Amino acid sequence: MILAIASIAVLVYSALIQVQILVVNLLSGIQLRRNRLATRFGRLEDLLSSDLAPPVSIIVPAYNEEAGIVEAVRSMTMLRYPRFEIVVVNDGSKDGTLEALIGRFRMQPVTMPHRNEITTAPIRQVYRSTLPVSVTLVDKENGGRADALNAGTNVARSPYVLLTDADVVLDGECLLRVMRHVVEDRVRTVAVGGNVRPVNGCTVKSGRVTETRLATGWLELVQVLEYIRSFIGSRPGWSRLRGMVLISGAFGLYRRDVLAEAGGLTKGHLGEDLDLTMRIHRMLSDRGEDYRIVYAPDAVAWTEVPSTRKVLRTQRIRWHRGLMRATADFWPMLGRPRYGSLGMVAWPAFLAFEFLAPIVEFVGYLALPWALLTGHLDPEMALLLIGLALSIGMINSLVALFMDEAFGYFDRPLDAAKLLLVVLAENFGIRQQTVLWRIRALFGGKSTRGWGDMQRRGVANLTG
Amino acid sequence: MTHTVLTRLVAAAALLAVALMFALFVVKTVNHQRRRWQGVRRAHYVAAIGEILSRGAIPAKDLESWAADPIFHEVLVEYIGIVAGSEGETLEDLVDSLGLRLHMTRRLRRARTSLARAAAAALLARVATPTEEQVLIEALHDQAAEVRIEAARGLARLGSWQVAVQVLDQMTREQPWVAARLADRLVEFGKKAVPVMVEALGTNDLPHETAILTVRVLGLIGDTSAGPILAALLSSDDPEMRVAAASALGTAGGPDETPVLERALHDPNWPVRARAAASLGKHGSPASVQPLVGAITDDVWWVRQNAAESLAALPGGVAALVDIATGTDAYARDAALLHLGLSGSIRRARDRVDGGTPRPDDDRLLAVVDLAAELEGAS
Repeated sequence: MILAIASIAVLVYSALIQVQILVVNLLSGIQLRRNRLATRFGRLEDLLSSDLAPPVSIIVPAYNEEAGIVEAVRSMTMLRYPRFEIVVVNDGSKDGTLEALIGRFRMQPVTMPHRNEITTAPIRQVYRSTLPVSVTLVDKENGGRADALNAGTNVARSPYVLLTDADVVLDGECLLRVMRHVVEDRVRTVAVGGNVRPVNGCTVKSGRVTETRLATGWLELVQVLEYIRSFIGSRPGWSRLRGMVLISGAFGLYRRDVLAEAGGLTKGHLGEDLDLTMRIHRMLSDRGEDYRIVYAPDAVAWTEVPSTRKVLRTQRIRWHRGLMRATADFWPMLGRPRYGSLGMVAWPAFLAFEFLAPIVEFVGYLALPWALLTGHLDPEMALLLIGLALSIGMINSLVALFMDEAFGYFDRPLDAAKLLLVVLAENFGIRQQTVLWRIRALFGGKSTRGWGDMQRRGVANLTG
Repeated sequence: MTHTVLTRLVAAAALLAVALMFALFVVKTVNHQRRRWQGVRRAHYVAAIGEILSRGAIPAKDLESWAADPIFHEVLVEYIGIVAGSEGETLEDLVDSLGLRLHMTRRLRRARTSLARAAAAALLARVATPTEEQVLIEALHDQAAEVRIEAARGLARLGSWQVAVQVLDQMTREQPWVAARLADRLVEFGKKAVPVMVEALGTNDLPHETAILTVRVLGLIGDTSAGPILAALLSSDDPEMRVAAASALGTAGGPDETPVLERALHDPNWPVRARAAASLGKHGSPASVQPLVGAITDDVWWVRQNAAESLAALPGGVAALVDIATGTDAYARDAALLHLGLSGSIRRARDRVDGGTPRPDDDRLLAVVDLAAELEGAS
């Protein structure tokens, strides 16, 4: 009897997840349409020429990035935006990262005072480029990615900071597109998240994605669909509901004073981006401030996603460990009207359908066959519920792909066919594998505690 | 019963999924071809307009189909943004020969979708003549924000100051981002709109946000006739207004307003002090050196930085920075050294010394820099 109830509960839960995603998908559709109108009629060009556009500091942490850092910074200097500086933080690299930057950008040491608003590992020296590009190099002792970004925030001179990574390829107009949201509501906008897309399979030339193509590997294809579902199907909807739980660490813009006041990124946290977004929500809501954290779907940053099962496993375990810690830290925000739609809708939904999902699904994989074998569950009913969850899941993926079509990526017939194949087949194999990895994350152990070796090919190697 | 309902539900969901898959494949394939075709048309228009401009004449053949093509409109808008002189006149002839103004006026008035009206407003804003002023004024009250903004762009281009009043009035009713975009359009009216804005600020009737935006616009236009009202606003009770006024006075303030800015260096609100320090650098008065030397010892980093940057730009300021760099206040010394470096003073002094033509302060400056470098190394 218990088995039967558990099995039906799991199946109903799976169907509920898909219904929730469908609702958010529809909201995303409305938000994306509004966004399209906003970007079509010259707002970006106006921003480019407007003296009202606030300056931005792009913070780039670099640890042993000798191979690609110069190309990455050089391409960032060519972003379209009226006023920005690039702050590269050499996080105690053991290779020639520092020397490569000093040589290429003709850096000279400067006695530049900086505010230690966020405590970081000691800064050894600050350099500034003598070329007509605004590049500052901070050489500091090793402290990890979060520590490097915090040091960069301390040194940044602009009221807004863009946190990114050295191996992320930024679209030429991404800064304009995130800052549009700031300019449109300067008083309330404290953070803007960008759209992160997998770069695997694309052609990169001179630090820019020049041709978008789908990767050939199965794991990479599945991740392309996952990213589209998350960044196109889900985030615009949550942004519209004022319930942005997460700004991706690969590409997030923050008001500098808010970031510093929130204490910057938490050192050693495996979900530091989730943690930071939630801390900003909590800090500003506790003070009763009227603020907004929004999402810019057209501001694109390209990142390399894992292409091997081993690296993907490490990443997924890390993400789930980060989520577990955030769940423990921000549990009290659940269902509290003080936190508005975030506390009442977004955070509960995130926990119910992200944190609990692998547990419930895992229970389902155990209980369902057992209940069927022992005759506690009507096979026809089980098949119908599985069929319903799978069908709505496919509809959700397809709706997200439809919405993504407006951006014009992956529209060759072959790419379209590949994506449709992934929609059909992703529920078998890789999905179950991911559930097992996330269950593994729940039990902890040495192998789940660190960032692990991400073993990327590197954007430099994609460069044509 | 449950089974029947569930079965139908699953069947419907599965059918929908299959239909969506088919539709997605078709849409992607069609869009792929459509984007390629749009690219071809765009290239065709770019080449055709380029040829028209180079020949300076409109071809005799019938170009009516161009007038209705949104891709042509986009290309035309891009060309309008980059050509001038006789080429601009040729484009005007092209717009005339195609009857584009009438076409866009009709679409702006009749189109049902905001996207179509906004597209019409965007083109009309760039080609309108005084004949189209009325339709643009009407469009200032369109329900779509994009249409209102484009209408304001067109009115700014036509440039009659009476209309600036209406744009300013519209700003008071807008959401912040629309108001900010209309403010950008007010800048395009230029000096003609300054008396209108000065008068509106003088009546104190403007809502707070609009008043702040108007002050910023005055700063961006940079006409010194706005100086007195901006100086008066610098003693407002509202810190945000004082910050905006202190910034605007950098470009829209004359010598009469310099003493007011110097007094603002003692404002209790640090952003006002920082802005005043930056604005004094733009005024270029040697008399401001002494007040800025005081500001470089301010408690706040931004005030010190702006004061140092302004000193580096003022006559006699570099000598003052050298004095500060040899002083005992470590924070002021850091700011002074940084801006002596950024302004190129250190490099120029080194070049002069190396070239055997040093100025009186050069040796002292380089000695300070070397000492700072030594201290840096020691720490």
